[in-house]
Amino acid sequence: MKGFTKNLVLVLAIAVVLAGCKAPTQLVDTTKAAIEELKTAGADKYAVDEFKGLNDKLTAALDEVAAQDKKFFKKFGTAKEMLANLGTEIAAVKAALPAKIEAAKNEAIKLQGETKAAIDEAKALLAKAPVGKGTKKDIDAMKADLDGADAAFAEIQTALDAKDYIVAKDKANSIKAKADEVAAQVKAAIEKVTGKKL
Amino acid sequence: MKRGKACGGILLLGFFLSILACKTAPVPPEAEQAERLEEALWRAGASVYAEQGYERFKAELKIQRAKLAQEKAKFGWFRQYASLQKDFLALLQKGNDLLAQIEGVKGSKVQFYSDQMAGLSARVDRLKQMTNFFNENGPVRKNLSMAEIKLSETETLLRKEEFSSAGGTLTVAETCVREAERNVADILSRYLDKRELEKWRTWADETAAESRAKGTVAILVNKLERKLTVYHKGGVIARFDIGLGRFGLSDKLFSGDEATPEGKYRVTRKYPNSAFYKALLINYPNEEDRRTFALAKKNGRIPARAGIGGYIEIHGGGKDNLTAGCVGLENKDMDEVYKWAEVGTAVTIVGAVSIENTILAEIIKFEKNG
Repeated sequence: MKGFTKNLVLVLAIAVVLAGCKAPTQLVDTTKAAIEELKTAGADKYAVDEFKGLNDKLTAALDEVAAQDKKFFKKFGTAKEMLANLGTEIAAVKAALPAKIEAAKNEAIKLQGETKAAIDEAKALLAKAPVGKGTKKDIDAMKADLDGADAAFAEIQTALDAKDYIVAKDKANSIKAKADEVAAQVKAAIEKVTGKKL
Repeated sequence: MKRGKACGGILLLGFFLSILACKTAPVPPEAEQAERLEEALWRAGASVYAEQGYERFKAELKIQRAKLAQEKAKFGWFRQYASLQKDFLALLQKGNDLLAQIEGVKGSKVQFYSDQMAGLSARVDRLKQMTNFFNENGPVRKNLSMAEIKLSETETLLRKEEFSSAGGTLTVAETCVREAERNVADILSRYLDKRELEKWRTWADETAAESRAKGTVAILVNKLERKLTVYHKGGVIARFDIGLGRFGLSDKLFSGDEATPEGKYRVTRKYPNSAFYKALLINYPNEEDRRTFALAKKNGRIPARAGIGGYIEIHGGGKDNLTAGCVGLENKDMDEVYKWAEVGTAVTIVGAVSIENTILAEIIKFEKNG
């Protein structure tokens, strides 16, 4: 009986050793799924660096799993620890994501304000531009160009309303660039007529 | 007791033998390479650009993983990786092909959208040049400005490899360009009308003929070419560049439309000290203008309270200045015209007389493309 117990312990010990050698497949799958979930929540857009960091760490953990998998005496402890840490980091990124989205929203709103200011500045410049010999035609063209920027401006709010803050920023940047371009042209036209640098 | 020891000994022996056996059959490196390749495909956006192929790859990888696990579960002596290695190699080949396919798809998308952008930019530039020529900037320039904004957005999206969104903004850009082209066509369609061209040519010929027959000075204004030609005894004695109003290429219909009238007129008064240097007043509206105005009003083509307008002049002040419907000349040129013209001098204003000029060639090109 004593011998049987001894053998059982031995068999269990081997079983435990073999069980410890098993790759953490489920943990890997869970981690990948969590990263995908983060992507769906917008982490790839609003937490680009962090999201890339998580992916890189996932790759490192997978490398470790693969390295151990090649060995006969497999030690998945490090890989499991890496995956566990990654899980913690994923949770942290997930928790911080709403704040980042809020920051992106605020940035888009700020840029929307700057774009409005750029359009208003160009409008003010156009209003005081001397419509004289050689400039009336140009000023008319610039007014129409600015009308285009003004018409496109509403799209920023549409993107903001759709909570698409990156799109709102991209739109604001393009429209602001156009408004700035018109303002520069108006300044040049004014300088041409008045001979004074603005 | 002895029996238990023997069993333990056998188990230990088996354990060590399995260790020795495992060293003889290493796991094929292709198995790990396939795992890395799956990662690379995931990063490259395989689920977006080659969804079906990626799903097939993952399914096959899963099968190979299971086979590998099955093989690994055997005692080392019985492990056979040769067939599995072959399968993994085939899978690697498929994965690499898929990766190349994804890169190819991305590359061709970038090329496709870049080509479209270049084409649209060229159309925007051409239309802008045309608007510089015919002044009528309002709707055309506004649409072109919106198109440029959309092209800028598209560029940003292409840099981010957001092809679907880039396609969307490019479509909007194209709509804006098409709208601008339609605006241009609306303005210039009259100039492609053969009957209109024939009418203008007849007026121009009659003006030169009158000058020849009577031995007098006559003035011909060609709106499309932006030229004022002075005839004397039927021969051309001078040609000057002119400026028109914002809607100078349109035929004047009513007061405030900023269009320049087309027709056969006479100088009715000379102003040596005009607000625009010197001026020659012409008899707009003539009888034909009055008939056209009445008909347009009857048909509701012009506002009910609109007047027919008047005070159309050839004046100085510069050709670059936008007029309200008059014909503008540089002051030095106005001096010449003023000197030759008398009250009663024929002034004929036509849209165009020849198809062989730049802007009409541009319109025809546009019509063919459009």
